[in-house]
Amino acid sequence: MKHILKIIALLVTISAMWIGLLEMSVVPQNQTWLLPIYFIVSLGCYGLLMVGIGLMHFPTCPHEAVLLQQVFRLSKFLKFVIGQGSYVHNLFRPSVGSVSLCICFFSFWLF
Amino acid sequence: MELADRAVGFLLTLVSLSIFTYYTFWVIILPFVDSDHFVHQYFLPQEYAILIPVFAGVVLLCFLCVFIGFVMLKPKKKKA
Repeated sequence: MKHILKIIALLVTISAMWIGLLEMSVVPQNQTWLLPIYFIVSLGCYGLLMVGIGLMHFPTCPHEAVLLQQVFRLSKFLKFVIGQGSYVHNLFRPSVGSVSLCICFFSFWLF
Repeated sequence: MELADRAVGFLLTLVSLSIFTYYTFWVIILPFVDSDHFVHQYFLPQEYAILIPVFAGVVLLCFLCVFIGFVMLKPKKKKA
């Protein structure tokens, strides 16, 4: 909150100075809008600058990307296995141990 | 493709900094330079320092309104 108040106070002082300069005819009347437009243009430039700097320092985390790919593969395999398990369940009942053995072997293969 | 990201970010910073320095020079420093200095030929007359940002702002506003109208008028697909 205090930061915004400081910025607003700064803006008020600068605009008061500008209006004073206008009234004293130091600045010609046809150029009244020079200061507000200058502030708006500089604000736009500042926004673009922040976006550019953020883009340059964007972290891509390649190690975590590899781990995520492995999680995807494991989850796809699990869905496949469980789907097969529900089909096989209609034929005969496999033991829980065999399914967990498959998962263990596959995870050893993955990592 | 972090290299492409970095290149785009660098380009953006360059563009913004150049626009800022050009505009600052144009608006603040040039009125105090003698009118027969050679540097005046690199800058447009002072009236354009107000006209060009205002024109760009109006164009941006019009484009935003057209875009919003376009999106609102697009027929929504009904789920069968």
